[in-house]
Amino acid sequence: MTEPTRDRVSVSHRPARFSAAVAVLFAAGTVALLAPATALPALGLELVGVAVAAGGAGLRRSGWHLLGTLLVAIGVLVVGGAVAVAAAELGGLADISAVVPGMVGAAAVVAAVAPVRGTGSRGLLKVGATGVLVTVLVTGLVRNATFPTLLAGTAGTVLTWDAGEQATNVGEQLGREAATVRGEAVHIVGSVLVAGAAVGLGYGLRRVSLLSVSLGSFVLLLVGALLFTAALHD
Amino acid sequence: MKRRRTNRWRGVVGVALVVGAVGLAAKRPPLLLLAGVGVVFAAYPDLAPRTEPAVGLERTVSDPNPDPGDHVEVSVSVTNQGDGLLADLRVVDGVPPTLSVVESLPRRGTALRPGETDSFTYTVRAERGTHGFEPATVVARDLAGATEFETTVGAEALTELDCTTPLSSAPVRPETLQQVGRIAADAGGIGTEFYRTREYHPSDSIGRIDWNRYAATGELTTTEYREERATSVLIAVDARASAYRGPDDHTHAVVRCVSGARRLVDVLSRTRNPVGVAGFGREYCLLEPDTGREHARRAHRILATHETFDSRPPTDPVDLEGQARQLRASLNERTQLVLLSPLCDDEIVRLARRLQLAGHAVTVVTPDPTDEGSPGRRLGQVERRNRETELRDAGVRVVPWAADEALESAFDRATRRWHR
Repeated sequence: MTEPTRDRVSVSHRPARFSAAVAVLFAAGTVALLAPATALPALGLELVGVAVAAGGAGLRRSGWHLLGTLLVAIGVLVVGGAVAVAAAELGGLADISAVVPGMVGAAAVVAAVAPVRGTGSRGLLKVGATGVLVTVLVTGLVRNATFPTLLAGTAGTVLTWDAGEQATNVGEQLGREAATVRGEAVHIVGSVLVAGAAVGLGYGLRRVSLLSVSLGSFVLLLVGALLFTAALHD
Repeated sequence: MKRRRTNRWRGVVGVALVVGAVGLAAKRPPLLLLAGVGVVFAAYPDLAPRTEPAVGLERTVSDPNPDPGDHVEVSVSVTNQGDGLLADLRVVDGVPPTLSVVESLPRRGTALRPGETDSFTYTVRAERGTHGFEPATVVARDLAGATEFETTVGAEALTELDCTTPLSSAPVRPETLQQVGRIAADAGGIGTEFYRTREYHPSDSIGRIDWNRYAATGELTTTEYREERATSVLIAVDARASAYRGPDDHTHAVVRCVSGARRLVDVLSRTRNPVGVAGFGREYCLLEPDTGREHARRAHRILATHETFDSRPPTDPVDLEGQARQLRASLNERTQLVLLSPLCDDEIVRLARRLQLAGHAVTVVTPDPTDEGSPGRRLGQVERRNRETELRDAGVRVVPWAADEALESAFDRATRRWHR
């Protein structure tokens, strides 16, 4: 299909491209950062599958319905295969439960911000971000990840959600075809700066806690901080 | 200005609590500390500066008087007139609903420092008629995206695409137009053109006695001359929901009626006829007939901006009966009425006939909203033709105005027919 019947420009309210790409990058980056080296080939394979599926979704929309659907199916199969490969490579249950939720989560993020049909889904994005968060937590519990890595992973999870949600709401209000990069970029830069501050703060607190502050005091500190935040809300 | 919280950061408190709980359960202070990231993000929306946006909008069109089918480039520039950063500004321009955008989009997402301006362009295809741009919708979010202000800007920038030909250059001359009704000079009085003679009455001025006849016959007679009075014309537009019809892919009848009304205001006010404007629809709207350039401008403004003439149909039912009563109350016996209506129902026909019977000269200019195609549409055409005949039978003059026809050629055809 080359020419639409009417030369009228249409708006599709799918998630905005720039923020969507950033969200996928954050999700993939976070999972790759936390995964053991043995899982990296599987992650690469997943990336290939996701790319094939996304390409298929694009073809479907531009009229190549059958070929597009076929590619989407192949892509989904490749992603599934990648998860299976990761599980086989890693072997141990602990490692599997640390890596697989993130891989599934990253795929869900892609499906949420680059949907085959419809206008994107915040629910799917939540599922994806939760998957990535589970990877962060399980990695922290069962594997000896360094504290800064975990901090970066947590920040990456929040940024994934933020960028994905931004892509969705910009898509809702302005549509995918509008020129929106500038506004999106400023928003993401703001969030990244805050994430940097959060990581710095966490790292600083960690250094303080090395000077023997009890767990109970930490809990109190955390609850206090949360209450303070709540009080800021009007 | 509407303000609303987006609540998009609400989930991050949950993240903080879950991470904290896991850390606590596992008795791992480092995991507990990860919750700090969530806490910082939860505080972020409240720490980000939140200023009400002050946005200025300017809109220019490459050609304000295009020909039908021309592509017109519209450039819009938005300026941050406040003194805070607009981190996430979304602009959707108010393209006239009757036009379609053919290249790039009337939408923009941007960020503006104080005083900074960003602009974008898009292209619309012109269609016959006058098309007013609507105010642009602006949504401004703070840096965190937690608070959202929504407002409209550019209401004062009355951009218009005028895709019509002025009637002056048309074969229809103002005189012909006045004959659209009858010139309201069927009364004798003081003037220059001879009207009739009648028996002398003692109150008549001596100067008007026909002395020649007195010399010849010895009878006193008084000469009367045709009174010169300008015809006052009320131009009424039918903008009820039923009138918002048009052929596929073309402007609907109300847009054509309004643009026709504006051409008529131009031509009549140039010939110093008192001209007024009325509209049936969302609400009754009336500008009493008057002369002068300022008055003509006011008429134009009303036709361009009054909500009755909005390019979207009213949703509530219209009480034509009541609005007609208001119209009749404001008509004096010398006012003639030019009604612009696609004649999509019988109610408006009844109204025109009743006004004609009440002694007002009524002319109906009727843009054709139908097109070829399905049997239903052909039936609609037949119905309209019957209504036109019904009006002609009642003495109403009808000017059929075909789709894609210029108004002056419609007038031309109609006048030739009347003079046959």
